Amino acid sequence: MQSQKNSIKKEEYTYGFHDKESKFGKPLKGLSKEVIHMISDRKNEPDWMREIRLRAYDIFLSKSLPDWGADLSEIDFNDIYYYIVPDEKLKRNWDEVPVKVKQTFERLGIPEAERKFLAGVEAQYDSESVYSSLKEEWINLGVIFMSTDEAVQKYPDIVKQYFGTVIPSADNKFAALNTAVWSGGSFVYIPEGVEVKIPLQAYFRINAKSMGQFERTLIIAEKGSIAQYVEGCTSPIYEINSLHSAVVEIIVNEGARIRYTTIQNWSKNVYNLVTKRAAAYKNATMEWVDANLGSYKTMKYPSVYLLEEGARGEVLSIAFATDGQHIDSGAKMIHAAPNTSSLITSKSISQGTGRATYRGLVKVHPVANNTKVNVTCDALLLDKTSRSDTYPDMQIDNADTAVQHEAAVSKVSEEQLFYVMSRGLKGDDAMAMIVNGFIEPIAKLLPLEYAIELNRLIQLEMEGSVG
Amino acid sequence: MEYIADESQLILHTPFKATYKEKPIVLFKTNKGIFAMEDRCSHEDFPLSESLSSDTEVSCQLHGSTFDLASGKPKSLPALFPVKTYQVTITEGKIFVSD
Ligand code: FES
Repeated sequence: MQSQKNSIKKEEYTYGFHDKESKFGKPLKGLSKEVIHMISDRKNEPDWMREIRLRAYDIFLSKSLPDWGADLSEIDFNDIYYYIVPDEKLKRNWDEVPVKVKQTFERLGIPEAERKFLAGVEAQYDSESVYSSLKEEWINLGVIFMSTDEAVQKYPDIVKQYFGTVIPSADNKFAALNTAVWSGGSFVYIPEGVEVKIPLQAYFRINAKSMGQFERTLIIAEKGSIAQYVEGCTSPIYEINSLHSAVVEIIVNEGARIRYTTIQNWSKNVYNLVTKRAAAYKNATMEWVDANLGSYKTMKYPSVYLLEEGARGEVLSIAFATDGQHIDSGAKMIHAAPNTSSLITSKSISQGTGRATYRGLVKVHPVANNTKVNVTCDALLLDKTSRSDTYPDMQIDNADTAVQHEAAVSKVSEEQLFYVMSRGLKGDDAMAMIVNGFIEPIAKLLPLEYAIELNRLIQLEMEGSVG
Repeated sequence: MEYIADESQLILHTPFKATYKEKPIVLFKTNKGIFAMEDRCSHEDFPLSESLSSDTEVSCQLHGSTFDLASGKPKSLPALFPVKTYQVTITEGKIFVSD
């Protein structure tokens, strides 16, 4: 699969009202061709990327919102900043940060400097010292790990070859939006046979402006390479904008193995609408480990296209919906070759008026002989008002397929709570223990520091949850 | 071999809808030649005649998969399989299509 899809002639993208005056001016609210030109100008991008953006903008306008999943009808696309120059990031006072967010930083023990960055008070968080020694190690291995903006400048041929080949901008409205206005995100290239032992963490690259509303990540794992990529942190990411729409494309070549771990906790005003997809080739393994907390509404279905014989895909996800939240998440596995296998394990927890939805698709094409599919979705309801729905879609067009599917919804009962409390725990702690036990199979796959933070965060969320 | 259209009817990069053996096909005239393919995306059957082409490719409007005009092979997901392409012969300004 190669990409030269930016095919329509250049003349069609020569728009008349490119306003040079606004080039480095104040951030503009709303989306227009002018904003896109401003982004491209500010980044000093090559013409081909500007054309991709402009074409995606037209696609964005032509597509309607999904008529399934979370209700997105309240999003006002004109009330959003699509690009904020990093050095001129909209500063806000520490006083303006909601008390609840501050308290959570405090309780999680997030260092001062980091708190300010996460709350948008500081534009940058200096993690350079931690980062530079690792950076050297990666360079020695021939690994490229930088922001996608930088990669467009330094490795245009590789970016051009793969960008949009796994998730074309026309895939859905939000992929088009991201393609039009993307900024930041990571570019990772792992050469043939290289194993990166320390997880590549977007967190260490905060200086490279990796965090943002519309980040774009592209990972290419060459034959036989192995790496783990980790994004996010458990502390609430408090954004002035209410829309986060990222695109992550991963190419896992023959025999390579990638684990992509996300742990995110958006503040509760954020729409989190993310498209993540991997293409897995012969005997390659792709694993998505995805913990979704926070946000107002989330729609996220990491997928793996198993394109060649022996490819394997896994999605292990945790969703935690508390009051007022709707987390609609799941996974997609597309089996398009023989001897492929997939595993989906989804754990969701709903509390108060929270709603967690599992939505999954497994498709086995007629060519995919001897395929193995395993889907487990467990939902835990913490009280009488919380809600959980499951929409598993299995399209099996090959009789030579072994499918295992389990779904269970359980409720934390008075007896369970009583039992744990009789061991000396307070109500909230008892509830936290039950929840942590429920997600343990996935939490244990997280890097230790993230697993600990997740545990603590669940403890925080449980406060006041029991009588 | 079936007569489909006159070369003069085709506009650069613009789809030309036709039928061949009673099946919908689409022709694209580009700077690299004239190409004929089934008018149906291999992903979810959306007509490729809704899109403009480049010199070598066409992208489906519905989810963006790109197909090579000459071979019909997908160059991007979500399509997985090729679109059927046909032989094009031009004789005295007349376009003929065959398997
Ligand atoms: S129908 Fe063409 S890409 Fe989906």
